[in-house]
Amino acid sequence: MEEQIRSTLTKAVSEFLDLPEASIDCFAELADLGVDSLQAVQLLVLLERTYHIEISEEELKNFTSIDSIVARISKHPKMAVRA
Amino acid sequence: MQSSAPSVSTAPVLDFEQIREIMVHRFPLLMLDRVTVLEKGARLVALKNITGNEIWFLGHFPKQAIMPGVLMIEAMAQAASLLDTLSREDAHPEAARFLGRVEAQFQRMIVPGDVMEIEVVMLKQISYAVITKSYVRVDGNIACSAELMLGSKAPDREK
Repeated sequence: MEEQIRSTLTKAVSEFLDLPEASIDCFAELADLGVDSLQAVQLLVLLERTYHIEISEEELKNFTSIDSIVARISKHPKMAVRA
Repeated sequence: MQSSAPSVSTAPVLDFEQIREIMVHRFPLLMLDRVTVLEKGARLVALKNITGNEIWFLGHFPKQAIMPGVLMIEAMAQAASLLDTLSREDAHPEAARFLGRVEAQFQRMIVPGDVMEIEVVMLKQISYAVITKSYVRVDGNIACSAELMLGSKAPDREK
């Protein structure tokens, strides 16, 4: 499941930035990559729709890198049921 | 995604003057004449009457008046902005609102004499952004649909 979330996010970020997926560093700060605050919201909505979960705005402050999002989302109660 | 049924009543919930008190847009780019449905936090329906005297028909096009698609998007964005504003208790009257993302489909032309019914359905609202599914209908038929993301920035808020 973690790999699937990572892949979903990497694809989205590569599309935002118009860069190859292979060039996206999952450990890099999203802001350093060039992801802005509205794109972060798009990531949140993408995760909600893909995995049918609800993510609070509070959670956005933990959206610092793709890896950090993967770690948070994979612990979501509804995601844990699927793992 | 299915939209809610179009509104039936055209009686104003907000008239043009009330809309002008809330919106910062002015002629020729205030694209809402009347709000007929307001469900705070959920849905808004507004009307815009299209006349042959709209200023954009001077150039779009000189030999055939067709409503520019970008102005349908603008009308939906204004309706979304209005719903967002009216759904917040702490809405800043001078907050700048800007489009962050648009995914639109156009299905029919709009011409003078048409009444645009603009419906916006709120999908997600956070403190600095709103996402809506929006529709422009004429005579009940969809002319344009779009998912819009609007960001907002209060004058005192940092980037």
